[in-house]
Amino acid sequence: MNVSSHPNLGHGPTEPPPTFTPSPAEGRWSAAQIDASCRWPVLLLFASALAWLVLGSLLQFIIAIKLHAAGFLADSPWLTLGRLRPAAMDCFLYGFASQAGMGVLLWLFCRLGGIKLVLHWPLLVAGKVWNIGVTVGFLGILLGYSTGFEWLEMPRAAASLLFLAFALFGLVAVVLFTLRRQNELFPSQWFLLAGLFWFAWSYSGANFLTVVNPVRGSFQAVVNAWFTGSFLNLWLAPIAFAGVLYFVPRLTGQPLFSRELAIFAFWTQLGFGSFAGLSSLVESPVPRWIGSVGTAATVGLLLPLAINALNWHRTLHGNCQAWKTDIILRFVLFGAGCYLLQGILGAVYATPQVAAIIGFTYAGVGKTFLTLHGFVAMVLFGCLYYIVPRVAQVAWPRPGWIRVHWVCSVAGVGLVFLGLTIGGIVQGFKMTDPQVPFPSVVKGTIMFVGISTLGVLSVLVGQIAFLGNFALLLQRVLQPLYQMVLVECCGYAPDATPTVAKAGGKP
Amino acid sequence: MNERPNNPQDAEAEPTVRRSGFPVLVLAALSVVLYWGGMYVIDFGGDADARVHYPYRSFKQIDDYQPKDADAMAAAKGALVYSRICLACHQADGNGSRSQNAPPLAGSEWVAPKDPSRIIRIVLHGLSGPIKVKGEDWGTGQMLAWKETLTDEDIAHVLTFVRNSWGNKALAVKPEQVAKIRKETAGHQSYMTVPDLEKVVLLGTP
Amino acid sequence: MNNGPLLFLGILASLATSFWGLLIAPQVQIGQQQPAVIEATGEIYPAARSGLARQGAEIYRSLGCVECHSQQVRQTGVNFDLWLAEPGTNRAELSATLTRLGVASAEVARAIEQAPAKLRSGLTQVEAQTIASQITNGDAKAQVVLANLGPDIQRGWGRRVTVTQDYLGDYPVQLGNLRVGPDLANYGARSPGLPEILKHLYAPQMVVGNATKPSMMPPYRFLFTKRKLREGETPTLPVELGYEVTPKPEAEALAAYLMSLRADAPLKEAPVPNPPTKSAPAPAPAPGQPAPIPAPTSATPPPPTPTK
Repeated sequence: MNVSSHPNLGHGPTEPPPTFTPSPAEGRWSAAQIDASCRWPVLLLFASALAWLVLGSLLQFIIAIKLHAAGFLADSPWLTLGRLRPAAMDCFLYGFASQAGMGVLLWLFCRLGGIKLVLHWPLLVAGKVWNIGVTVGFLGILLGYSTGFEWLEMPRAAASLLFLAFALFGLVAVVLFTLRRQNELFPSQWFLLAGLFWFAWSYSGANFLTVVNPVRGSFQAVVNAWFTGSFLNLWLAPIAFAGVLYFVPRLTGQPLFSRELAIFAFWTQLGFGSFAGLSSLVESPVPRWIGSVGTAATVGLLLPLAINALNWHRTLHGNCQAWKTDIILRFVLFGAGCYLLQGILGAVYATPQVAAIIGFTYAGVGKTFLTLHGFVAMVLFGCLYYIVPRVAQVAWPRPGWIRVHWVCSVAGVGLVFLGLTIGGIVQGFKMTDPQVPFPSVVKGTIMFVGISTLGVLSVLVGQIAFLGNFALLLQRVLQPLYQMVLVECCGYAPDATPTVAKAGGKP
Repeated sequence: MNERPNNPQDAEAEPTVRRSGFPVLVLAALSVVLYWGGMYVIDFGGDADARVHYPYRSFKQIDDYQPKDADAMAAAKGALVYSRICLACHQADGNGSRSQNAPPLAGSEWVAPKDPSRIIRIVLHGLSGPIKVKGEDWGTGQMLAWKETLTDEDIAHVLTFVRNSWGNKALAVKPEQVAKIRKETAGHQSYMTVPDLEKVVLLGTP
Repeated sequence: MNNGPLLFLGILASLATSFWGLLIAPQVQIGQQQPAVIEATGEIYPAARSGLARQGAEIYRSLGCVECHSQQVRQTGVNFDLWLAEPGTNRAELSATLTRLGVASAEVARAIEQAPAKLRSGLTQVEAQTIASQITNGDAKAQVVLANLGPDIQRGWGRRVTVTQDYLGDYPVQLGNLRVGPDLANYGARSPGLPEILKHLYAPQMVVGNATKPSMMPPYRFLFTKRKLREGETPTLPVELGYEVTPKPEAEALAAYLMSLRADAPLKEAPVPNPPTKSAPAPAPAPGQPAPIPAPTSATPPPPTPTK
C-alpha cells in the first residue's frame, strides 16, 4: 500500500496545495474551504492533545514498571505511584481525549453543517485556558493536592479553569450548530451535541457535589461512579461514535446502513449509559439498589452495542478490501472492535457473581485500558490522521510512521489487555481463596504486569511516532509563515521558491 | 438514497445515510431489555431501602438476623446509665467508696434476691440512714432519689446491669416492675430507710 | 431528529432523569444520615477521629494510597452457627441429645467441657433455631450465632460487610478499586502498633513477604528523616543499619489514621457474630445471706476499642 499517494491522506508531498475557489451558485462552501477555515483552532487543539498523550503514556510506562518493581523511583513524593496514576490518567482523559475530541467535534460540525468555522479567537482562548487548566491540575496532583476522587483528582482551581474553557468552547460549538446550512442532521451530530451537554453537566455537577459542597459519606462514591460512567459513556464514547459513524461510510463510499438504527442506538446509549457507571458499586458500601441499577444499565448497554455493530457491519458490507488498503479505516475499525469487546466485558464484569471474583483486580484496569486506548484513542487517531492534512493543507511527512503507529498500537493494546485481564482473573481467584496468603496473590500478578509493561511501552513508541509525524507536519505548516516573517521583518531573502510566498496565506 | 445534495464528482463528498424503515426487532429487543432490567432491579434492589447493602436482600432479612438476647441489650444500656449516674459514687468496679459513702454493689446481698422490689425502691426514692452491706456498716450518707431523672426503662436497665456485673448473677429487671413500684410508692415523699425496705416482703422468701 | 431544540430537550431529559434518579434520590436517602448510636454499647458511631488521625487522612489522600489499597470489606452471605452457651446440670442427658442432633461425638465431650463452645456451623437460621430449641436438658442453653461469610472476612480484613454508616465521617471517601495491597477498612483492629506501622512505611519489604514474594508497596522513605548513628547509640526504629530513622509528622499522622480505621462495630444493617462468652463465677455468698440465683448468660458484645 502506497500511503503517500492515497487520496485520503492528503496530497503528495510535492504537489502544491489546492487554490481556493468560491463554491457553486447555491452558496455552499467547498470542503477544502471549510477545512482551511478550521485550521488554527483545530491544529492547536490537536497539537496540545498529542503532547499530553505522549506525556501520559510515558507516565503510564513508569507506573507499569513500579507495579512490578516497587522501589523504582520511589524516593520522591512527586513520583510516588499514588500521585502518578491519577496524573497520568488525567493527562489522557483531559489532556488528550477531551481536546482531540473537541477538535474533531469542531471539524465535524463545520463539515456536516456546511459552514466555515467562526469565532476563532474564543476557540483559541478556550484551548489555551483548557491547557493551562490541565497543566495546573497535573502539577497539583503531583504536588499532593489531589481531591481523592477518581478522574476528578484535579484540584478546584484547575477544575474551574477546565469548566470555563469548556463553557466557552461549548458556546462556540452550539453557535456553529445553530448556524449550520445543512438542515438535515447526520447521526454524528446528535452524539456530539449530547456529549457537549453531558460533559458540561456531569463535570460541573460531580465537582460541585464532591469538592465544592461535598455530600456525606459513601454517597461521594455514588457521585464519583456516576461521573466516571458519564465521562466514558456519554462524553468520550459519543465522540468516538461520531467518528465511526462519519468515517466508515465516508471511507468506504457507502451510505450509513440505517438512520433508524442510529436513532435507536443514540437514545438507548443516552438512556442506559447515564446509569451504567454505577455498576462499579455492585458490592460497595452503598444501598444495594444503586449497584443493581448499575448492573441492569450496563447489561442494557448491550442493546446499543448490538445496534451499532449491526449498523456498522452492514455499512461495511462487501468492502473487506477497504480494510487492507486504507490505514485510517483500520484505525477506526479496530477502535470499533475494541468497543464491542469492552461493552461485552463490561456487562459480564457488572454482574455480582463475576464482580466478586474480578473486583479489585487488574481485570478492571485492563478493561479501562481497552476502552480508553483501544476504543476511544484509536478512533480519535483515525480521525486525526484524516483531518490534519486537510485542515493544514500539508500531507503527512512520514507516511511510514503511520504504519509504525498502527502496529505498535495494536500490539500494545493487545498485550496490555490480555496481560491485565488474565492477570486479573488469576489474582481474583487467588484473592477469593482465603487460604492463599496475600504475598502469594501479589506474586502471581507480577508476570502479567510485566507483560502489560511491554504493551505500554509499545503503545508509547507508537504515540511518539505519531507525535513526531505531527510535529514535522506542523513545522511544514509554520515554515512559510516563518519565512514570511523573516522576509517582512528582517529583510531576509532566502532563495525564493514559488510555493513559499503564495502557499501560506492568512491563517 | 442520497440525502445530501453534494456534487457526486466531489471526492470530498459528505457521507450519506440510508433510510431503512422502522426496526421492529430492535423495539422488541428494547422492550425485553427494559423488562429484564426492571425485574432485576426489583429483585435485587432491596426495596430501595437505604439500610440494605449487598449481600442482604431486604431489611426484613437483616431484622431476622439480629441477635435476640434482650437481657444482654438491657445490661449494655444499663452500663451507660451506670457510668453516667452511679459510677461517681459506687465506682467502676462496684465496690463502693468510703469517701463517697457509697456501699458496694458487687456481691451485695441487697442486689442478689430474685425480687428486685427493694432496690427498685432505693433507686426511685433514694436512701437515707445506716445500712449493712456485706457485713459492714455504711451509715453517714444519703443516696439521691432518681425518680425524677431516670425513666422506668433506665432504672430497669441499670439494675439489670448491676445485677449481672462484677460476679453478680440475678434475673434482669423489667420496666414494668419499676413502673408498678413507682405507682405503689407514689405517695412516698422522703428518702427510703432500711426499716422501710425491710417492711417490703420479697417474693420467694419464706 | 433534525430539530436542534427537540434534540436538546431529549438530551436534557436523559440528563435530568439520571441526575435526579441517581444523585438526588440517594442524597435524600443517605446524604442526610447522621452518626447513629450503637444499640449494644450505646456509643456514637462512627466516632470522630482525633486531630492527628484526620491529618493522616489528608496524607493518605495526598499520597494517593487509594490507588493500591481499598477500604471496603465485602461479604458474600450469612449462615448460622450453633453454640452451647451453658452445659447445665444434666450432662449425660445433654451428651445424648447432642449426639442425637448430629454433633460429632468427639466434639460433644469437648463442647460440654469447655462451654461456651461451637457445636455446629454452616446452618440456616431456621435449622439452627430448631436444633437449639431441643437442647434443654437440665437448664443447658444453646445459642444461635450469626456467621458472616466471604473471603475478605475469612482473611481477617473485617468482621462484617462495610456499610454506608461506616463512612459518614470520612472526606474524601477512599473506597478504592484495586488491591495491590490488602484492604484497610478495618486495619485498626489488626494493626501491629505504631513502631511496626512506621517500619512498614519505611521499608515494606522488611515487614511483609520475603525475597521470592516481595511486597509491592514502595518504601516511603521521604516521610522520615535519617541521620547517622553516633558511637554506641541504639536506634529507636531499627529499619536501617547504622542510622537513626525518625518519622516526620506526616508519617505519624498517617500511622494514627491507619490505626483509627475501624469498621467492625455491630450495626443493625450489618450484624456481627456475637458468640456467648464465659461468665465469671459468682462469689461465695457471705454467711447468713441467701445464695444468688443464677441469671441467664450475659452475652455482651465486646465494645469497639476506643479510637486514638
